[in-house]
Amino acid sequence: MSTLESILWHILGYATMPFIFIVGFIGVAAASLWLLSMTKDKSDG
Amino acid sequence: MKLLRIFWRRLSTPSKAAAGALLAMGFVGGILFWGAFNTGMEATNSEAFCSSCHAPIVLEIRETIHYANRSGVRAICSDCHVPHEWTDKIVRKVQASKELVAWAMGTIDTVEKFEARRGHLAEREWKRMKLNNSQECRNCHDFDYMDFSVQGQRSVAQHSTALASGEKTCIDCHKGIAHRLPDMKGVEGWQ
Repeated sequence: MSTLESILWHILGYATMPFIFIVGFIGVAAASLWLLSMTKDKSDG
Repeated sequence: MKLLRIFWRRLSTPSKAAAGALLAMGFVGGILFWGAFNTGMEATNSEAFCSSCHAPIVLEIRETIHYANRSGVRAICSDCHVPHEWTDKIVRKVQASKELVAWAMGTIDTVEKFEARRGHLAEREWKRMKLNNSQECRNCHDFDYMDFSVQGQRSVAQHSTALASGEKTCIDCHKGIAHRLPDMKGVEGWQ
């Protein structure tokens, strides 16, 4: 693997880390909102 | 688009639920997500997963000391080929997306194709291990706790000099420790 390729993979890899956390947050938020919608947060319309 | 708008509206308006309930849901949800994520990561570290593309080379380790030995301590594919540190592991996993392309193209989907590419694949791994000072070897084989009194003469001679000084790293000498060697013509240190 060339140095350039290694640098590119490292950039992509490190950029993926916050992406993982953001996707995790969105997933947990969506699941939590869905659960809440069945109880206290029932929407009126 | 409509779903996104609904989602955003729900996120940005106050909830009727208690703060404690919301925090607990987030906490438990976070634990479940992290557990699921790492379970998925470990699933791609299993020997069965690696074998699904790399079957010929996974079979080769069965002839070696890393597969079976008197103590039962062994290494599987990911112990040597996937970094243990989380950040380095993620970089390697992202890099593995390139291997999905190779899988889709059938680059090594026959034994003959694999054998033709063995040297190239070996060189890549040797270079990677050289660059990180054979970290995956050192995850189990700690130099500071090597007992030279139970090593062979040649091992003592090499470990106490070139390895100790940092002039060499494990992979410089221990190529082929777990897999059959490719054609070693032109490989540094293997004349």
